[in-house]
Amino acid sequence: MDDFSAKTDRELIKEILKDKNYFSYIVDRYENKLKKYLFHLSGLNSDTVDDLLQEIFIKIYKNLNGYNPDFPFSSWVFRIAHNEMINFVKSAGAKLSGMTVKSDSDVDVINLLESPVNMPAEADRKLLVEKINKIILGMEERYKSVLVLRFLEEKSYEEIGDILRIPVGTVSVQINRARKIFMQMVIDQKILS
Amino acid sequence: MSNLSQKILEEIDKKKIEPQQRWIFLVKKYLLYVVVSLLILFCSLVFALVLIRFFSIDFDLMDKFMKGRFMFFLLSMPYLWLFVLAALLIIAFFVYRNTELGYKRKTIFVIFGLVIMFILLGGVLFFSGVSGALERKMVTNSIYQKMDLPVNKLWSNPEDGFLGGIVLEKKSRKLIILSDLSSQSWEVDLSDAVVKKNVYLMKGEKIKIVGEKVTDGRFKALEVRLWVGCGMQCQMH
Repeated sequence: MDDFSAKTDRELIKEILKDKNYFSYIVDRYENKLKKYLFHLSGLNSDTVDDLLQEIFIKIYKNLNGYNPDFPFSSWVFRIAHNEMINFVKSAGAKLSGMTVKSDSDVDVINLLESPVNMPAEADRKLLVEKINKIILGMEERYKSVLVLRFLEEKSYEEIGDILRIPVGTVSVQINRARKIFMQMVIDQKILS
Repeated sequence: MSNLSQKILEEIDKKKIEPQQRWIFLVKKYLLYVVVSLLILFCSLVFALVLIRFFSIDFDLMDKFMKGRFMFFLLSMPYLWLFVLAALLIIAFFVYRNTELGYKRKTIFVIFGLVIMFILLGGVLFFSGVSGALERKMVTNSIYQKMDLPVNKLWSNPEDGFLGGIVLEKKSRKLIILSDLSSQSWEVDLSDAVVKKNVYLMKGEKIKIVGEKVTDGRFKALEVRLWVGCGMQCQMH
């Protein structure tokens, strides 16, 4: 198989529809991004996320002909992942907020803090990350989703709208509300001195 | 190739998974737009029926109603159609939201757009007389007749001089037999009555009579009107 890693997502899709083996490029391209997103949003453990990821990629493969090239492919992929994760949590009867917090390499959650003054030393950062993750997991699903997509996945408002299927204006409103709620929880729990 | 890629490709091979055909997605996509269009059409028709009922309210009789003008107005409102209209609008909104681009627009704009569309189309159906013809057909429908609509209460007040029902028989030019809204028969004396335009007193015709009760089962009519107006068509006569 030739190296197709330089090809765009859209070019890859055309190739995949001719030869399914090219789908591995899509999986390699999105595996870590989706894994990170699912961890942040659900707090599910690594094995469960891996199983879920497999289901998500198979769903993506099945629905490749339904992708509209007028929209970014990554938004479409994230939307499928988001919906599958919500369905999984619903069917498992679990609440997103009740999962185990995972914190190993998630230092980027510190980006959520509005003004990272009095940032603790590196040794304490892991603890801070853990606390922030816990706050995120405890938030309402709609606020958690926009916060994770905006500040951890660095998606644009338009991409967030496409992923969550809400108008851009609503994205903006929800991000502002989510950030206020998040900062209030940070203050209430005295996470920053 | 990562482990996950390998596993997924093996799974695809093992279960012989294939991408769904493109036409299936296209059918699903356009089906939603068809459903939204049909719902807008139904909303328009119902809105035209609301207009018909509204223009059929006998505002000139308000003062004669013993329970007052406000109660007269309340009993005359077409609640059934308003409820159906609201339900169809909500369904149309949610179906539209599920179309490919439906989520991009703000709720208020979507609802405003749907309302503008059914008002315009409903207006056309009303002014063209389509809804009038439909309403006149429906009032003689047995299911519709059995419905306990507020307007029936208004025209089931022979004591106050308001009697509605269906013509059972035209005995002569001055006497008809009427089945009221609770299926009780009345002999209606038309000798001093003003019979409005478009009232033919034919068997099966639904009418409203203003007059006075003589005895149980006998009513003296002063004025006979169509149960529902015929919209702007009648205004033009």
